[in-house]
Amino acid sequence: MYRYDEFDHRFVRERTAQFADQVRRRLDGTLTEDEFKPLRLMNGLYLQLHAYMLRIAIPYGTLSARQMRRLADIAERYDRGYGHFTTRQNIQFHWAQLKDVPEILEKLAEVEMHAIQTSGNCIRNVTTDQWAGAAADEIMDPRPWCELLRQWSSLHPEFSFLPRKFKFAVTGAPNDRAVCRGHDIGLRMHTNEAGEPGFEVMVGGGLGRTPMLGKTVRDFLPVGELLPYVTAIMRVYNRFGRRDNKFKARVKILVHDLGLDAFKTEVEAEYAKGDHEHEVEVSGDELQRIRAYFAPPAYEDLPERDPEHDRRVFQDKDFAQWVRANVAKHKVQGYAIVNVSLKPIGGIPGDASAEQMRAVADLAERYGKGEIRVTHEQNLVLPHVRRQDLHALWQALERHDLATPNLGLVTDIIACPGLDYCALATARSIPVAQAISRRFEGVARQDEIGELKIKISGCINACGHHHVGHIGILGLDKQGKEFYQITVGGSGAEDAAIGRILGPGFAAEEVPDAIERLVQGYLKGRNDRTEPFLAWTRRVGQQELKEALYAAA
Amino acid sequence: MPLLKKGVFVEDAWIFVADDVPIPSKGPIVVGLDRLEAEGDAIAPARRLGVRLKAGERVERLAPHLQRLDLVALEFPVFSDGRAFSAAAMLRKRMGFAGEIRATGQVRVDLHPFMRRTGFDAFQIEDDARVLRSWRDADIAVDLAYQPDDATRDGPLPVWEARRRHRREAA
Repeated sequence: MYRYDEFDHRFVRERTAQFADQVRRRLDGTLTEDEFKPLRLMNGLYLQLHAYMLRIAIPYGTLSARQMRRLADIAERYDRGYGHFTTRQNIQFHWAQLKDVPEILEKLAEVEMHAIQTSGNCIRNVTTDQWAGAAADEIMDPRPWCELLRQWSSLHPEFSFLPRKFKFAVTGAPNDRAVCRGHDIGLRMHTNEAGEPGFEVMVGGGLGRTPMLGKTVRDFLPVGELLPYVTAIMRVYNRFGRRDNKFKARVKILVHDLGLDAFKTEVEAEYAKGDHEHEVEVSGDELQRIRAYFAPPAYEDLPERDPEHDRRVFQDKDFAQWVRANVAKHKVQGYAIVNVSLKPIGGIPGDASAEQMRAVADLAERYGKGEIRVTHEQNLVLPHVRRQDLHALWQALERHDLATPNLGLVTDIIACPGLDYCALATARSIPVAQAISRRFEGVARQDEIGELKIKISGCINACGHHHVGHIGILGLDKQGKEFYQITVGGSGAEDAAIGRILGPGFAAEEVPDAIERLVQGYLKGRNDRTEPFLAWTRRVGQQELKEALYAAA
Repeated sequence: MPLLKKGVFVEDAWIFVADDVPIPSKGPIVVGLDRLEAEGDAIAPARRLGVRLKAGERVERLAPHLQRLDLVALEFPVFSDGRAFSAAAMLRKRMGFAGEIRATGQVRVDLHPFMRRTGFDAFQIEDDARVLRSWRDADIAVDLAYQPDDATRDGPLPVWEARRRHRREAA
């Protein structure tokens, strides 16, 4: 894991003091709320329905056990004993007091954390594959590049007052677990014919009210050119992105309005001016320094199979189900990636209590080399666990209600906070997620249905990623009543697609039945068990999907 | 309007000439971009001349006039509009402009570190007691920055440069 050096520490301390002063000036009236707003947003502080919400950055979703414990302390002391993990791999506390925020930020700084640029019209927290450094299918570790981008984008003098927010995602694996095409800039690492490392650069993805998939502006950018090249993209966006209408201000609209070719021409012309060369120098020795922090942990030489583990899988079907659903293949023999579900049946997606956070921290130290990841699907990951420890770990997770065996299944639902918390929301998300989760409670049935990603947003801003859900649910307000539109066939993976609307929406209480009918349609209509829900939606016509969704009860 | 340069409030000798007003017969003047292009050649070469750019106007248009210019004023129509940061950075780094770059419009103290680091060296502040108070008493100093900074030599130390020095000393 990356560790702060003296300079990173000093930077965050100074930034914390600076924000404390801005809070002081807001409280004494020197700053108006209008002036304070962009400043507090740059520090992750939102004014919501009931209180301030503080969003804390978890750079590329990586946490140490110590940091997780500190989040637990903050949850207890300044919130109501829990925190909410988000689709941007961050954590939010929904009940913060403005006067406490400087103190919270100081406590975060002590464990090398901050809330810098978790909101506002600036470059947001960089996200990546939650299995980075561990996944069996990984080509290159994206984390050193994420850290480089984190540093480069922190209080960037030119790009901190952009037309709109700006999000980066990076993947080092062909299976995209980071929704790269759903970000303003998506970077996919791969190698060229000569075996040299580089990035496919995708620009202009984004969900929100105008969902668009990112378009490729460079198939292969040598890794060393990353910072100068993204600087060129950012400059084109900062200068020419629309500022007259915040709903038309994301870079996706600029790419769309100019057209991909004209946008590319602008970027390449800016890049060709070549006066960002100092930043190339930076990435050489600095990258070496950063990379050293991401050296693989000390793995033991283990056999691929562990007879004791195999015996337990054979004997204990609950354990076997959890292994099947929540454990993924590690790149090192004898190790496994453990996904810790934050989606208990009927629970609030992504919520964790202080007690659960501490439990995960303890288990990470005991079984997982002290490392924890947060996923954009609002779960946690222990990336390096010995196969032989899986059973003991599972038992411990069970005791804390953290072993729901549903990763990627129908009850592993993404949901934004919705109208229960959010000032922008038009409908509630959480109760809908809870109702669907209860409806599909049975493990055997979930298993029968197989991979099915449901994503729920409580308004068109799409924080719940509904556009890229295999089933997407969008909560709207129709003459004062909550009303849910259902889309089908979206994907945030390497086969990215925006879901299609099939017809009229549903009242909240009708949603579980509607999902049930779609699932029934799939179970009846699929070729066989090897055809997942998403593939089925793509194979059959709109008519068949409609018939399933609107079938008479 | 109060003008801040190098940390102190100074007299402002420059006359900002509105587009529909005749150019005064003497004194240093700042004109709009269109006027610079149309009438720039007619202004006596010895006279000090500046130009003001609106946020949407392309800084590249200044290229043929840079030799002639002593001042470029860049506008922040609202303080969340960051286009002038790119314009200043391009003027300093790409176009090599060494004259005054002045921030105008909603020039707030919390933008000052970003402005300084992109090359602004003069700050024209609204004559408003509350705004001026924040320029006097805000504590906004961050004396480290991650981005290499060659727009200003007196800006914060770039972290990457600090690390490089640190490594050299350790070696």
